[in-house]
Amino acid sequence: METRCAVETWAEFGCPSPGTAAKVIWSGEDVLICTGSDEVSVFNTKELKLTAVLQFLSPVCHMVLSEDKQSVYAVCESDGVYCVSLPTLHPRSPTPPADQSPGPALFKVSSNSLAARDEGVCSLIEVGGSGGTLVTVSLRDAAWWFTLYKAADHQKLTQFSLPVISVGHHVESEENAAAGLVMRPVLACVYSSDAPPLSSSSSSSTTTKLPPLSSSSSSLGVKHFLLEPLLFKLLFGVDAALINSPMILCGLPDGRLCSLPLLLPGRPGPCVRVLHSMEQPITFIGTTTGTNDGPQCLVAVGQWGRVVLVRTCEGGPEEGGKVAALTEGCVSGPVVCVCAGREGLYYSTGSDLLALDFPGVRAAAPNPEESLVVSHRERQGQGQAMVRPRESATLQSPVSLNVCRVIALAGPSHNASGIVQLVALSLRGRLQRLTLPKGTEAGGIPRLPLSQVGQRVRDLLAAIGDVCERASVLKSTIQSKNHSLRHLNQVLNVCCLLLANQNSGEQLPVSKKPIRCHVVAKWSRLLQRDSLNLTCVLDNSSPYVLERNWTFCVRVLPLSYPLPAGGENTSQTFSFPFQKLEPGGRMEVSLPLTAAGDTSFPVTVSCSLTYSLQSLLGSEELSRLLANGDPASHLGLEGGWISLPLDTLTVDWLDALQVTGTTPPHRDPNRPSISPDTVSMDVVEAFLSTRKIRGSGRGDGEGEGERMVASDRGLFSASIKVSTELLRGTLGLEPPGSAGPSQGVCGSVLGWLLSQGTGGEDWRGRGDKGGQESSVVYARCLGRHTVKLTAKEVTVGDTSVKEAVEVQVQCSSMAAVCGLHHAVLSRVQALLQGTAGTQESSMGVHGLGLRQALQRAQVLSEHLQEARIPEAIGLGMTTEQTTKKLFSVYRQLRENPLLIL
Amino acid sequence: MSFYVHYGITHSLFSATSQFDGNPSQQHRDRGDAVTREQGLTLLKWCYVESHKLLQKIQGVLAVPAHVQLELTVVYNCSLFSISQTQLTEAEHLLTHSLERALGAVGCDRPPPNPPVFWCMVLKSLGSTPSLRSCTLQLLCLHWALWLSTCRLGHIQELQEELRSLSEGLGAGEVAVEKSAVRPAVLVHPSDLKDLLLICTVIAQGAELLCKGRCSEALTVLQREPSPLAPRELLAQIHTLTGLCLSRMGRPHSAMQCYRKALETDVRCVCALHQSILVYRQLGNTQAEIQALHLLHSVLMMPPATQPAVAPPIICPASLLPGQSLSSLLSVPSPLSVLHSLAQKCVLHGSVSEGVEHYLDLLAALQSDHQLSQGFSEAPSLPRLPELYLEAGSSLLTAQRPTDCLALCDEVISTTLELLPERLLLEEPMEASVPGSPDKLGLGQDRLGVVLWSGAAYLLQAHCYSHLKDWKQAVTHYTRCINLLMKVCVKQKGCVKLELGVRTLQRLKGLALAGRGISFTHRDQKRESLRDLQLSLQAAPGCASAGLWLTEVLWRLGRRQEAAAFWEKTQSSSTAPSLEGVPLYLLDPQTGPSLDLTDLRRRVEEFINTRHS
Repeated sequence: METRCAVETWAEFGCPSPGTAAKVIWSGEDVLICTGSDEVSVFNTKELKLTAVLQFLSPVCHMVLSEDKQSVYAVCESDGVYCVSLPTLHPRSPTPPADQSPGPALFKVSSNSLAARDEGVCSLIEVGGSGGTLVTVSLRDAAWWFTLYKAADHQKLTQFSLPVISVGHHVESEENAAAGLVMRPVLACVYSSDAPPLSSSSSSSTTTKLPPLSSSSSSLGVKHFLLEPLLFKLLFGVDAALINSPMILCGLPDGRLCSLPLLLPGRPGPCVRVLHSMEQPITFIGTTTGTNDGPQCLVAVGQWGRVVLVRTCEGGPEEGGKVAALTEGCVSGPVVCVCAGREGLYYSTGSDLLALDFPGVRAAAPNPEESLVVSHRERQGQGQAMVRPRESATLQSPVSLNVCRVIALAGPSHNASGIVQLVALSLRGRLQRLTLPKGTEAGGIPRLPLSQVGQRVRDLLAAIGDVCERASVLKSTIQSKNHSLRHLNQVLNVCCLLLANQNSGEQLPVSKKPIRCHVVAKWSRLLQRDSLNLTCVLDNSSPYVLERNWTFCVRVLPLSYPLPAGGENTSQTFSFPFQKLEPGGRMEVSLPLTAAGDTSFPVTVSCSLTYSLQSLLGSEELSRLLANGDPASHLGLEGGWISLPLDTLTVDWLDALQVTGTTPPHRDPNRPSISPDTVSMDVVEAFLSTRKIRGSGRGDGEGEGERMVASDRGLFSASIKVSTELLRGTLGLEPPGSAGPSQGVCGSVLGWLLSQGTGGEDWRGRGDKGGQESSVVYARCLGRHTVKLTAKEVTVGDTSVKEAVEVQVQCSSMAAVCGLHHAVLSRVQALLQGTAGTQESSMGVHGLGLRQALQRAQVLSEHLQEARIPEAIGLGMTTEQTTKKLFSVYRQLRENPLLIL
Repeated sequence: MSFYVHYGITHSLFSATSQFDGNPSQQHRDRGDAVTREQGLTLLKWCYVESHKLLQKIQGVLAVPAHVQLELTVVYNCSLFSISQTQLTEAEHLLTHSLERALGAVGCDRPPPNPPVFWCMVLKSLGSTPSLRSCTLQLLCLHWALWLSTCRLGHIQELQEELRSLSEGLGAGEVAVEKSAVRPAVLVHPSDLKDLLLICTVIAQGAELLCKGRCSEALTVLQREPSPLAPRELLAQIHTLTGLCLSRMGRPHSAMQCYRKALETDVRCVCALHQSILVYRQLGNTQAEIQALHLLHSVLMMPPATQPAVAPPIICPASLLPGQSLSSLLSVPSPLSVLHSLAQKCVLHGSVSEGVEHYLDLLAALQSDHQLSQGFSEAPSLPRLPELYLEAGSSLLTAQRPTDCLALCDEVISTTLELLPERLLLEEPMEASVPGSPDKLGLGQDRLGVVLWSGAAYLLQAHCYSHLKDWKQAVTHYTRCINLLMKVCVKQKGCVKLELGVRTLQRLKGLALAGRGISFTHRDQKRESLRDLQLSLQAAPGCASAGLWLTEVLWRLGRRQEAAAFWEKTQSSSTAPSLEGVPLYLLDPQTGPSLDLTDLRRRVEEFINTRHS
């Protein structure tokens, strides 16, 4: 059963703030709209425009109309209850007819209109117009307080309390709390229909009798109902009926339905009586206005769709008489807002508007077996709120009206031709008039003329199409979410793996790391230019695939760098996004380390894996995640990047050596490898570089570099002595006494030193021609200088002869010597660190050597002082001289080093 | 009265301390005294906020001995403002914190938190300095007020000595203060405050003791000589409490004197009036009781005293006496229930027409919504409304207004008609309904009540008809009543003591049967009459007129032997069952058909005599 109703949008307001229940009140020509801001708008349905805006001092969270519809009560969050008279909003002053009044009039509601200062008021109702009573309900000190005020002067009369009972938390109610929706008590006022409502001036003798109330209770307020006398008496007792007391019904968010007599003194026991417990927040209390032939009933609707009907029926066979009976039923919730029609309810679930009819006729009046009969017998025993399945059968299934996102309803109005109209406020803040199709009210199947059937079918198909589209969008959203989750899981796994390594397994050997990388520097010659390339190899031996969004980052940072003009760090970062690196796979990237001649070695290469959350989650979600702070900062998230360091390696001069052979190269290292087009340039370059060497050299070196190499003149050298024993031990060489021609310590040492550099294997392949005592290797280093590395066995000391290997570096470039010396030293240092503690041999070796070294150091220190004195006393010694002196000191420092054991 | 703040005081407060603060009260200076209560409250709140700002400024720096006096005085004023805003814990915290600061300034240790020890130490350290003594004592006064407002009478008891010596201390301090150049003004003069506290303490202690039943001790406390300058209402309360003690000690006449004194002190002391009513009732002085009820009702109906146009007091006595015991002792029933008692007393004791008027007033008051303004009383002092209607009806009948009575009963009948059950089974003893069970939908416990009210209404209507000598109608209505009552079936489980409902049912049955029997007699249906009268005596043995009428009917039937025997039996068993707790409308009808008792007596005794002779 499906019906469509015509929706006409009247006006748009801002989106209601999510925490407050929006409210619409339809009174005559005016519709009052409250969306939770500090404004209440008045919309005129005749002129179809906003006529007035009431501006309150603080956000309005609830509003009700007075019974005589002459004033509106608004509950403001921080103040209390305001009362604004509606006629003042329509100054019926003669408005000039031509005046197309530009906009709504703005009324600022001042604190003079404050009716009751009570910050905790949740809900209120006014009974009896301006001479009547104002009843507010507030939650305070674990009790619901019902406070009565005089409506005329807002004088506090009295108050009653009802203790709050704690309710088990519904999942849904938690959702509600998350959405910030505050459930408010629902209030209604019930009169016995044989009693006149409280007249505005209470002394009935002075006023004329009110006109008899017809079934169209139009003179009653929105929340005021007449109830047939019998049901009234059954529910509220004889006393209330005798003095025609209006009863205030209150549906509390804990599900209790309470009644409070407005005029009942002296009755023993608490004034506030609990009639029934719905066990879910009550959103609506009302009556079905009832037609002539059916019993009238009181209706309460719970937020999760429970509907309770209270009506009279025959008592049981034992006692007879009339009893009040409860019928419980269920509709699919949540019930966001309800308004009562003639024979049923209209309610919105947020996604649809539905019409629920009550079988108002006798046929459906429950007989005692079927429904819950409340007699004093059942009080003694089990609780009464048992719902039998059959009872839900008494509720018809609701009819969808196909209007979604309605959050507030008002109405209905029935016009003469039987058309029913409702006013609704949508979630987006649209004020809409809903004209219901005829026949909805009757609950029957709407009959369509044949001519419209085709149109209907098209409509339906279109609707199906829409739904399908929405469904597919939703599906794809879900898929992408799943995808993201999968990815995130992977990321987390990888993170855990690497972070665990970082935290605990700092000492884990490289080979055991699940994701590791190593770096090799290689020379390549391209377009006649030699360039040093760094090749990084990433081994993924973890069980996870490194997919897209992962990036392999290599940061190259010179360990020491010249201070250029800017003086800034000259690090470079290279990043290589992964496509897909399966477990066990490896990725090899190479990056230009430097063009030959750029000598900022050694460099530190730090490798890391980074992951970009942004490309996975999108910037919006990411910013939300980052705003949360805590978890993100734990992961080291900065700007949406997870960065996991892998390894930090050093590439030094040794690594950058190009071994040329064991004999000195016959020609200049920068000999033109003749290629016609580059000849001239190379020649110039060669020339320049030789000049440079001479300049930085001793200064008196003449002739060609070749000669200098051959004659050992004009070369810088540095040497390191390492005890043979140590080398043997750590490099795994055979002891000297073992059979067979040993490889030779010297060769092995050189091999070891060059093994990590380029061309090491090359050199080894040519065999060791250096003999037993010494090995020589020539290589080209950065800056294309030829370097001679010599390793020879020497003996140290006089008394305790010690075998040692001296590694000597010789080169015409000072920088190269320094760099290589540093590199060799750091290798040896690393070697020593690796074997610290195991080598305990001959600790007391040559005290002599030490002494000598000390003496030399002293001499050197003196030299150094000497060199600095002239400068210090301001003698005009040339910088050249100073430099020279310092240089010689440096050289001596390099020579004859101590033996490394 | 000195407890009411006149704005001059706040002005002087701020002008005295304006060296710390730009003088913010200037704008309020010229408004004069014509402030309404509302404005006064706003101003008080404003003063509260400003004084706290001032204190914050003062306490923002380290305490220096030279400024301790000023600071403590500002604390005194501030705490008073806090108390006036019912920020009691804040005031107390302020007090102890500031005293600790002051102690620190003069170089003493931090005292223990236990109030008596704390104060002993404070008085020892600060009280020795003459300039500080008075302001320390001021704060002691304040702490006293806080103890009183939070019902910590124990502390007051423990520090009795110190508090007693307050008066000299405060007086001595005055001189020292006069000498100092800057004299910080105080909001309420400490000696005034002390007087008020003294009397409030007496009241609180007396009430506490009285509630514990230690009347003689309470009496000693209350009979301490109060300061004659104390507010009238407090003096009246003391007198009332003294009276309560005396009446509980079995001296109603002395109690009466006290109540009179209380009323002389304060006319609005309704509680004394109420208590004197209880004493009159105890003494059986009905006329005085009725007069007092009259008076009480008229006092209660007076419009509430107009608030004085001056600002509200900073410390009002009510806030110092929050005790539950006191309010329970001094509680007064609601005006409606006073009116009801008055009406009932009048009807029962002669002045029926007056009683009827009161009843009608009561019903009118219930119908109007003016009653709301009179507030609800917690005590269930009024009977159920149908019973009230029935009482009014029966008093109307007694006042010879049967038609009005008929109308009133009609209302009860029409209201209850639809609710009557077909039959009702009661099991004795009735189970009390489970308290706190949420669902009392429907009438539940009222089902018997509905039957009884409806039956009583029929009974009254039948009485009316018989009063009008419309015997046919009378029989009809008696029959309706009896039929109704027959629907109730009581299943007794050997329980001797009958519940009130069942007793009422029996009595109602007896009266109805007797009434029908009498009506039958007048219709000359002697057999039916005899049957009904006999049944009536079975149902409710206490019905006096039934016995007499039975004798008469027997006599008329010619069964003189039986008549004589029955006569003798009724005369010998003179112990009529007590009518305690029987509602007004179930008393024997005063206006029924009269039986010439002397004639019957003469006839029966003649017969007996002749038989004997």
